[in-house]
Amino acid sequence: MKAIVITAAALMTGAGIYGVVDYTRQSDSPKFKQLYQEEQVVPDPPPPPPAPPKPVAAVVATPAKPEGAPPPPKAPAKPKKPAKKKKKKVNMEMFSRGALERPAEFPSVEIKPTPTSSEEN
Amino acid sequence: MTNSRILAARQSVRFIGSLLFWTPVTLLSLLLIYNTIPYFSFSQDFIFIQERSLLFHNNLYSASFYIHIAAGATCIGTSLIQFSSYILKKRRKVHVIAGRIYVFVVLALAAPTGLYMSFFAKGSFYERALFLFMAMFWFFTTARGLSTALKKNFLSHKNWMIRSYAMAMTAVTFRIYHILFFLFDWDHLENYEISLWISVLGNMFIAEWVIYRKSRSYLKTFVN
Repeated sequence: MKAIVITAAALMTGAGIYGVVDYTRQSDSPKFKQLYQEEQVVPDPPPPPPAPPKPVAAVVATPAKPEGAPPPPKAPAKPKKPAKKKKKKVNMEMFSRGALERPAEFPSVEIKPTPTSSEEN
Repeated sequence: MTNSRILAARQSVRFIGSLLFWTPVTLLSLLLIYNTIPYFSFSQDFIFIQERSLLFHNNLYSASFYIHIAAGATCIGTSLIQFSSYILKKRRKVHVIAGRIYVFVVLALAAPTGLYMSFFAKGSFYERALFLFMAMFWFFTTARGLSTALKKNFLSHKNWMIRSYAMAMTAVTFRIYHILFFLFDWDHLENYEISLWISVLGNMFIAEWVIYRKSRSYLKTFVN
């Protein structure tokens, strides 16, 4: 048993020394500095839809409001629904040291060039 | 008559208490071992490995990782039967063999690999220092537990082994806190760091409390 303890102590010392050496050697590399940095790939937001062209409104003469008349009653504002929170599900695989959620990844979509009219002919 | 009833009530409370403690501990320990098994497919498709893909190019780190998880699962599995008073009294040989496996696995495999990997652990400098401390404290408490057992000082042996087991169980308690804080929508890195600190310090505190409770009657003899 004493031999095991001495061997284990030597292993611990070796692991400590090698850990320090390995860490100082790797810590200078830029890749190591970026280790554990979470990157979330978020796609560019889609461009807003073009505003519909305003129709040229025909000038319609509206009857002038009599002075001192009460303003028209406003339509009652619709009560806003509270935003629903997504329920997080817990499963047995989550019982790990790893990150519990994968960073968002979106599959890249290849866009094929559409044939032009000259190519068609 | 009244005394016997009080004694019976105390015994049943103690039994229910130990059942409430050991049932989740056993189930969660078995779940941890169960979740370790897929890693031995040596696939890279695990979030834990993907996060550390750069480190896994290093053969020593990769070997340390697989040795550490195998050793960790073994020591958590063997330690489950070590605190059973039935096995200690009726099947002493089982306790001794499981204890030897635990001690060998911790001292020769789990603690040295844990120490090496602590330099590359996730988190800031303080979290790496905490992992370093954990590996050294685990090694020290287990070695002390062994030496006291060899000297037949079983009271001290029990105390040191409780401390050693508390360090081993940080793997389980960390995961509980990690999932709990995840449900509270905490940021991942913040969650990771806080879960780590609470699991280590919390387990050390619980171990000291259990030791104090168990040796209270012994300590009282010094007062009187």
